[in-house]
Amino acid sequence: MSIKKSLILSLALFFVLTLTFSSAAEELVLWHTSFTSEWSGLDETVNFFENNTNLDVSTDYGPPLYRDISQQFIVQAKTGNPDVVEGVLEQMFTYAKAGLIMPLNDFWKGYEDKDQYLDNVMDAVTIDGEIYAIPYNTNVRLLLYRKSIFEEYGLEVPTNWDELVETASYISENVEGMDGFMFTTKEREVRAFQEFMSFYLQLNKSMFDVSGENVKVTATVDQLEEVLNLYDKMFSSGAISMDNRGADWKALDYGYTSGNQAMVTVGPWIWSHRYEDEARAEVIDDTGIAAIPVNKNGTPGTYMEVKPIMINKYTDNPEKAWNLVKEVTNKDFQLLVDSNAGVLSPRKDVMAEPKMADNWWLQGFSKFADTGVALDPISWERPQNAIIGAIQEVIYDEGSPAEIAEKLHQELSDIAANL
Amino acid sequence: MINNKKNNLKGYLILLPTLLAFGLIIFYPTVRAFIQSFTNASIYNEASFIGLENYIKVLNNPEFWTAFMHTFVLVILAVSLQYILGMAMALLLNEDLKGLGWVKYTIMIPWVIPVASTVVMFDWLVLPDYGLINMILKNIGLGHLTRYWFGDKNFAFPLIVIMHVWRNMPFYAITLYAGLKSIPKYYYEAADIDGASAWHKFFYITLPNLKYPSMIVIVLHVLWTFNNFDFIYLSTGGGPVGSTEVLATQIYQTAWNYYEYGHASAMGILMMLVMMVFSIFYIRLVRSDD
Repeated sequence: MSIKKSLILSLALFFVLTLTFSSAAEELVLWHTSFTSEWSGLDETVNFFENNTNLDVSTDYGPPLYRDISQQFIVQAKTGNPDVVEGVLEQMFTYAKAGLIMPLNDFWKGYEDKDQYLDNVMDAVTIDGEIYAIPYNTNVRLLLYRKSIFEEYGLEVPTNWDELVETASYISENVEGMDGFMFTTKEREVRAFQEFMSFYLQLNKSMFDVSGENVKVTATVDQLEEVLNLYDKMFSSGAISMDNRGADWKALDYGYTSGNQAMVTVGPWIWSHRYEDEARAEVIDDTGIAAIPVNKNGTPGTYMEVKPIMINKYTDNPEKAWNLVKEVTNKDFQLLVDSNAGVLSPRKDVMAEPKMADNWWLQGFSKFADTGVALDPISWERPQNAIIGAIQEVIYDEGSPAEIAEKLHQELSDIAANL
Repeated sequence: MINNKKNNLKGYLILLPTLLAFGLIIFYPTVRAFIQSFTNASIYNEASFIGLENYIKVLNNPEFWTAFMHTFVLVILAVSLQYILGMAMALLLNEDLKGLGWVKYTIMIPWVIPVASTVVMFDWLVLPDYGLINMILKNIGLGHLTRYWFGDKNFAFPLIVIMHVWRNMPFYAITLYAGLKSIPKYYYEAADIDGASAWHKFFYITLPNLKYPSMIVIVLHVLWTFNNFDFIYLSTGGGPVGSTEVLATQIYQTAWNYYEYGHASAMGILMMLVMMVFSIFYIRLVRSDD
């Protein structure tokens, strides 16, 4: 083929591709892990959405992992693509601070379903009076325990931290092949941070004061020390096996559903393990749900997770994007996704449906939903790493909880000064 | 004369797509990162010039030097072990031992398995309660040794070295095996006549003739290991207590957890400089032998 012909062919190909992509640009683009990640309700969710939507939405629903969604969204948000993005609350704070997502107050005012949403969940997606997302699921971390073990050994469900350590140590010592408790403690493992906060939020409902011009740390050294002490006691008393130091979420979720731990603090997602095999289903059926034991100086409180749906500030179609947000947060959609995933809905009408109201698991979590505390609206990446670093220092004996709490407090203060 | 010019033009035209791709994928991002390293670019603010501030911050950060040392030790240990074991495997393959023919066809399996799968596999092997290694230890009466191996400060780093070796050793073996096949047999026959021992033949015939394949695999793997991110990020995340933190994971954290692109770019440029110095030094060393 001559050079001339090759050049003509290349140009023709270029024009065809340009035209293809420019026509595709009319479509709305939604990135949503419920449409892409491996889970039991995946096909049903995609089919339900595609059969019911009136909008022209691309069938490429983005990356399946939140981490990848976040990175790609940060890189390409200013191109206007995707129009709508799902994420986790911490990512929403980052996107909002970076000016990548749109405040939805104007849409929210005229939204016919706004009264259906729980106030504390909407508070979680509100920064300085601006609503940045519509949530489609929420959950709280609670204490899950093996009912049969507690019955067999005549144990009471712990209600405070001392009882938690005592009961967990007793189980580790007396029940063959089973640890009393489990904390996730892997470096940079977000679950490690969330578990820490589930206990910390009993002592203080906030870690940073964002009301003034400068962010300030509200956590005290004593409060941080108290939580770090719990980690220290849990590992040193044998309540958590030293073998589990540095373990990630797999060792906790799969560990519990394999019968390796008697108690864990997790959210309702662990329900989906029942679909993996019969043995895990038996463990789930043998699970009791209780509030996380409360510190003697604290009040009930736990980490609240909220999954927000956000609109890209640079979308070419804000109105259409809002319609898409409404579709993936409407009653039917939330009922389908949340009931399949075994998580709570932030909508009252969804939670009142028999599918949700008659489900013992969801009701167990729903009972304590009001103890959930949303994180302060800041970028959590640095505090998160500082906290996980402190947990690791405690469990690997790099210092006393008091020393490490002092150091952590200083680190958090330094971080706050630059937030 | 005219034909020569035409041929040259054709040559340049053929090269053009590659040069364009090279410029777009490698040259542009490198220059961009270099410029960015002198700014305070982050997700939260527009970039403004701050001179050498990022470089000073990086060089004064003790965590950077810890990560640098870990990276350095990882490269030395992993590449040396890979080379020694790869060479041993290549020599074995070259012996055409009976019953080992299947090894040639299966040896590359660890290398073609995606890194993420390799890490997941190792992670499952070393999990505390139901990982295979711990189950075996329990069953042979060594239950006191069980632990989450990636969560142990003393074993996490060696385990990462083992993962590197497990995955990359076959690549060395196959490359060196191909090199061994190209060494003329009469070199060894002549050495036999002179009464050379097996060690003499290895050091005076085999090794010198494997100089170029060795250079290629060593340079490539020093660069890959120095830059390697996924093994550590997916297995330990840099822990426990920073004991496996390397430069690549630290840069990732700076760029993608803290969104400090200028700071991360400065770290990346420093890493690139170290690698450039190594590559130039190594290639010159090999050439000087010629």
